[in-house]
Order: sequence, then structure tokens, then C-alpha cells
Amino acid sequence: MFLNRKIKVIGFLLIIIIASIVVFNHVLYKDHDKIENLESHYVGNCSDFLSEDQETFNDKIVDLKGVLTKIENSSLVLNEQIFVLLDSTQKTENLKLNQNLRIKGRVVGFDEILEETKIDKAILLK
Amino acid sequence: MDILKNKISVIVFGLITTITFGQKYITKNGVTNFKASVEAFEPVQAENKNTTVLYNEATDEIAALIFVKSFHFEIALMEEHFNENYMDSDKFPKAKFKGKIITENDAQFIIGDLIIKGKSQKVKTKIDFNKGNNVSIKGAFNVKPQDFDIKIPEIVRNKIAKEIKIDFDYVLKPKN
Repeated sequence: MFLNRKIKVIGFLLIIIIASIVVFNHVLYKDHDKIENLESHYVGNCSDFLSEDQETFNDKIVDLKGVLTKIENSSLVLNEQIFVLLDSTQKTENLKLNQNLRIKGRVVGFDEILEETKIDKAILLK
Repeated sequence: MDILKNKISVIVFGLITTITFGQKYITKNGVTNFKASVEAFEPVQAENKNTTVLYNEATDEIAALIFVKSFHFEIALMEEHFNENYMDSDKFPKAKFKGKIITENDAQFIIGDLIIKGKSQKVKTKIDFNKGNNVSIKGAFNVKPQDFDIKIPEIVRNKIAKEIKIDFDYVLKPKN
């Protein structure tokens, strides 16, 4: 009888501990969303993308092909009008100006000072 | 010959004026941080590494633009709450600043309007201002959440500072 009660108590405690670990890791301290795992809202060329109304893409994931026109620190410019901030895991060393490039990232919005569309959390795709 | 001379002098004069008066400086990678931490609680702070800043040397005017969603928090849940509950960043995606750099008693100040969540507030703060090949602007100021209609729920009020410190560090390059 006594042993049985002990098992129940331990079992109960274990459930609580496991539940708190799950809540802790997956709710309170979950990882940032990974761009790789998110579905693209728009797939296509930069030039086609630029002809669309940019405001409709806010916060959407896009998969774009374009020409690399500028490399700066951890950011790129595609087709002179799309500013792409790369995710910190990405490397720019092997990139060359004017090469074709495919990226996937999140549209942040249209920057009216620069007249550019900003994309962040971007990753390079082959 | 005279006409040619005239033409050259016009071109040279034009060049000089654009260099000395019309120069604009710009950055896309300005760093803006905000800290709303209270001691003994989880740090409430975030960094934005892609602030756009434009400075016009001729008029000393300055404009900055931040996308609220590009503030990065260590803790993903905090970032979600910041965007959804506090900043309403789907409705107000941008925070802007428009102002001027002024000199008072040999010190440089930045003065202007800060627009967050569609609400405008006057800001004046001392800055470190250096102009060489590049222009560097560094400084910090405090804002109050209620000035921008940002409501902080009772339950977390002790964990978020009453005054939020915003600091910035911008290095601007000449715009071609």
C-alpha cells in the first residue's frame, strides 16, 4: 500500500517536471522561426516581384531570383532595389557581383527613404 | 576658347557646390538598440541592425526609418509579444525620426520628431557627431511607453522599465 503511494507521488512529480521542461523549451524559450522551414508566399524573379504592389508582401516569406548588384557586410542588394539582410549563419565570401542569386527571406517592408524593399533573415539558396 | 573656359568653370563650380553643399550621407546598417530591462528580471532588450538614416549636409537635416519587426530579441516569445501586443507592428510597421542636427555651446544635439505607432513626440538629445569621410552619429535618449500609446499590462508592469532607453550608433557614407 505504502509502496504504491510512493510510486504515485514519484509518477506525479515526473509528469510535472516533464511538462515544465516542455513548456519551458517550446513556449517560453522556443527558437526563432527558421526561414528554411517556412512556406514561401511568393516564388519568382526580382523584376516580376518589383512590379507587384510591395505593401502587400509585408511580413511574407518570399523566394526570389535576381542579379547581385551590391555586397556590404552581411547584406546584399538584388536588382538595385531589393535590400537583403542575411541571416547570421550565411556567408558572403564566395559571392560575386552581377552573378545570379536565389534567396529566401522575410519581407520587412518598403523603405521610402531609399526606395527599396527590405528583406531580412535571408538565406542563400542554390 | 573663352566659351570652353566658361564651360569648364561652370562644371568645376558645379562640382564644388555639390561636394561642399549638396553632399548627402546615408546608411542602411545603422544600429539601434532599446533597453527596457528591470534589474533582477529577464532582460527586455532588442537590437535593430538595419536602420536607414539619411543626413543632408547642406541643411543639417536628418531622417531615420526603422522597421519595427526587424528588432531582434534573444527570446523569440518576447519578440512575438513585442510585435503583437505592444507595438502592433502589422498596423504600424515603421518607426520614423525626422529632425535636425544643431550646435549649442559647442555641443551637438539632435532635435526632431519621433513617430512610433502613428504618434509623434519631440525628442532632443546630445550626440557624438563626427564628420570626416564618413559621418558618425551616436547617442541615446529615453522615451515613455504611454507617450506612444503603448499599454503595458498590470501583470508585467514591474518587469518592464518605466522609461525605455533607446541608443543609436550610425556610420553614414557619402551618397553617390
